[in-house]
Amino acid sequence: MKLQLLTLAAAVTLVLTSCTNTSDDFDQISDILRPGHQQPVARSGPLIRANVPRMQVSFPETELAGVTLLEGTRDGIDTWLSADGGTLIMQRGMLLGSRGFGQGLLTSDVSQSLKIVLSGHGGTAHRFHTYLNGNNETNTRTYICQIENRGPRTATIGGIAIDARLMAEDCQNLDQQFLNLYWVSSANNQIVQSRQWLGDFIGVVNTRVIPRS
Amino acid sequence: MRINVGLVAAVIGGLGWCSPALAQSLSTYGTPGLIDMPTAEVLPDGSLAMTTSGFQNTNRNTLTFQMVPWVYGSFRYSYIRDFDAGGTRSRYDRSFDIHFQLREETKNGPALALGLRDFGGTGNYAGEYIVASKTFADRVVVTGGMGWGRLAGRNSFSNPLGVFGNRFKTRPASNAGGIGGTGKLDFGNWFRGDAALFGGVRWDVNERLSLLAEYSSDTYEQEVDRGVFEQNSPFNFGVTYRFKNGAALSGYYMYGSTFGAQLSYVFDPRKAVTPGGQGEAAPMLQPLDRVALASWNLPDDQRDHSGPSVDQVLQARMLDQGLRLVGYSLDGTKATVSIENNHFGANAQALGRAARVMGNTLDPQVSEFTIILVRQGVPITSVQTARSDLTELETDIDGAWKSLARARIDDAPLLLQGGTVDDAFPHFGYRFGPYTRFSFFDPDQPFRYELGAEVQADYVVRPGLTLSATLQAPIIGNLADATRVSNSVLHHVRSDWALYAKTDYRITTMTAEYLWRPRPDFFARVTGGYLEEMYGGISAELLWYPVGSRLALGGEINYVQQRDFDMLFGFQDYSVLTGHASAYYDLPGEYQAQVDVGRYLAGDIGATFALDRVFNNGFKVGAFFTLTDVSTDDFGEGSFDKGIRIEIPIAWMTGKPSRGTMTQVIRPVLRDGGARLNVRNRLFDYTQNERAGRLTGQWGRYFR
Repeated sequence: MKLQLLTLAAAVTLVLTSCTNTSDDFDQISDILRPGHQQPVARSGPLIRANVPRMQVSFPETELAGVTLLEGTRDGIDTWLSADGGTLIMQRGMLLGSRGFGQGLLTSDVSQSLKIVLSGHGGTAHRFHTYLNGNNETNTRTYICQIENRGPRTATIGGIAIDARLMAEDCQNLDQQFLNLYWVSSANNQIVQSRQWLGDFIGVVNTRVIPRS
Repeated sequence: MRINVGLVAAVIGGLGWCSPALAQSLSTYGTPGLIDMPTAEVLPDGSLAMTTSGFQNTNRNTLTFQMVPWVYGSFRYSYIRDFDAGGTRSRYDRSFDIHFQLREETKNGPALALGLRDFGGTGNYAGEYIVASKTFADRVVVTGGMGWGRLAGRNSFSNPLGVFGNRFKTRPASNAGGIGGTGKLDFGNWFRGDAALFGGVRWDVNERLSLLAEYSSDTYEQEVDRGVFEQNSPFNFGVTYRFKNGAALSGYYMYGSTFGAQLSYVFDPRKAVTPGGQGEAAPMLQPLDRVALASWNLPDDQRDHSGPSVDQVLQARMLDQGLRLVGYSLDGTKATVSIENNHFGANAQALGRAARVMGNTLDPQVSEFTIILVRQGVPITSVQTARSDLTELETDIDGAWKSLARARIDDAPLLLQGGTVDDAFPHFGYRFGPYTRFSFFDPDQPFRYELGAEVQADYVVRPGLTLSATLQAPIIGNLADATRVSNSVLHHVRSDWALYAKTDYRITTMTAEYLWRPRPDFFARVTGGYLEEMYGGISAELLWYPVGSRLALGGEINYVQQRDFDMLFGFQDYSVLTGHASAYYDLPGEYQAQVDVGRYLAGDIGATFALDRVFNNGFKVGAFFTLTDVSTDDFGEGSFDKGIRIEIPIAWMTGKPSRGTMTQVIRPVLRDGGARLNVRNRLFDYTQNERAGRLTGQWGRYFR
């Protein structure tokens, strides 16, 4: 019994001391053996120093939460980077895609929904999501969404009460259904807080813009 | 070739919602069925099912693969306690099944199927059937069928196939040739002799729970005769509970005498652990004006010359993405990089990463990117992309497909172009870590393993020329305890494997290898040294493989000598000239066929036929067999070499990027006929992932 334990210890030590410069297989094994030991990605360092805008995110399904950094903006599309290297890709606060969180939402066309949500009126919109599946294929799904203004709400962000209106977007297709919520600031008509659906695998993500200090 | 993967997936996904009811329970034989009896059902296409079941002195372990929508095949390893030698020895038995669904179930008609159990093993479970199954009220599946062989044990009657000739009326004794005849196909027995009826019902109480009842035509005659089974009733009853993750647990009351239990797991290789993977996201494509302001892109008079140069920045940023930059050149507005991808399972993803690194680094005037995929300094494939397409398509709803349509995929130039980046060569790669080895089906110990430490070093002296060594030190295991002595009448080219495993440390391989491109569409390799565990010598190979071709042709010739059992530097006095001509063909529908014709290690001449189903994500399930001029008697147990193999990408299991795979070949028995040399880096496998077929198939990961 003691010998077996020693051998097992030797085996685990062997796995943990494994090293290579030619593949990533050992990192993956040690990630499994020592979860949570992942280093923040290198490219977040310069962003922290540059004090870029931040956004709070949480994934109720996996109970993960944290702060993301604005990696950059191109053609009106923002990329928010998390400490472990995942990104959320957004257009004026509406989610287009995600990387590295397990769900392969490559990109979306939300132009109709965005227009209606920011208009403050209700309406019907089509939205299109392109997913990457586990077989390395892409798959575009279409949803029909009913958008309504649920009236004024107060969003409390960083201890500050912000006057906002709550816009609800109820979407479905033949086999999927989801509800997105957007708190749109009355002051500047921007989405300051949201609950948006990423896909079957990871479910919903909550976002909240952190005011610049 | 360039099909819209998104559209196709959407269409298939759409059909999936209204597909008819598919098999929801597996029999004790690990195939869609009731308890012991088969149904006409099949698994969803591509599914793999692993089952272990046990009852009264019997244990069956089965792997079933739904090869195409209407055919599944199974490999089974079963155990019957005290079955042989007058009740003193247990029977370990390997068997193969195949099942053809002849008709899908429709609203008005049942599904029909024909199947053969144990069609090539020792014949213990040999039985054939035709069977029909029909679903009523969405919840009740009624099955009835007719069986032959073992499935005709109860209330049997004269074979109705007798109308086609009297030869159908009697069934020759199975396994008449003794153990030596094992493994031959028993053509002469199929659907012969008396027949009997069987049937049963499954009631799906809800999505998770099913109740089963059957009338079995199997009387377990041999088991009863030998006193290892009691059989009082033809009726079996069972209950199955399916968990959400694909596992199922079943309990049975069988033959009025015994309880049984079963655990099974069914999964779809197309569904990786996470659909998009958990690896780090690519850096976003920055606006061009920001890229223009980077210090290395400033005009000479404004530039701080102590800062990094473009190629240094490129090299560092590629490395951040897990890519090794080995070449960079700039010609006006065209930039070319050569990269080695040791990080991403899909090269399409490596291409997308490299393109974005170029887009975020190179002067905005550069408008065309060429990325050459390289391995060990040998250029394989080149992909050309317009910079403007990248920015336009990064967030396009159909970006993957459009970027593929606009990319140009060509054979790479024969040599690394434009000079290599500083420090690219020589390059030293190392790996220190664990290794495992397994052996199956030794009757003394059906499962043997070895775990140890392995050091592997590769020194790429210059492009194409690599010196490599792999050393192993076993730590724990029972592989070396094997005491079976080979009784092969051929030279023991493989069957002495147990003698090799007994050392404290070993040189697994130690080689010098040169890979090069003799001309477009061709690859060549020469390897010398200790090529594999049991052989050393010299090996040369030439492969013709045009970049977008479904067909590849190759030839290999080796002169090798058998190594000493201590696996150090010595040799035994057996040498052989061995080699093969090979054809590889990428069949439609995820299938890949390979035929190798030539001379094997024992000097026997013949051919190996292999067929693999290769899922788009790299998950591979296949089977092979080899026929040579060695007679089945001389070959010994198993009659000829055959087996199944499974290759699982590590990224499929972990969700993190990796090029690594776990491969397991399962042979019912390893003998000396039809044995091939295992040289590293055979050219087809070495280049296939970099060629256009695989790149385009996996292009969905380009913007991942």
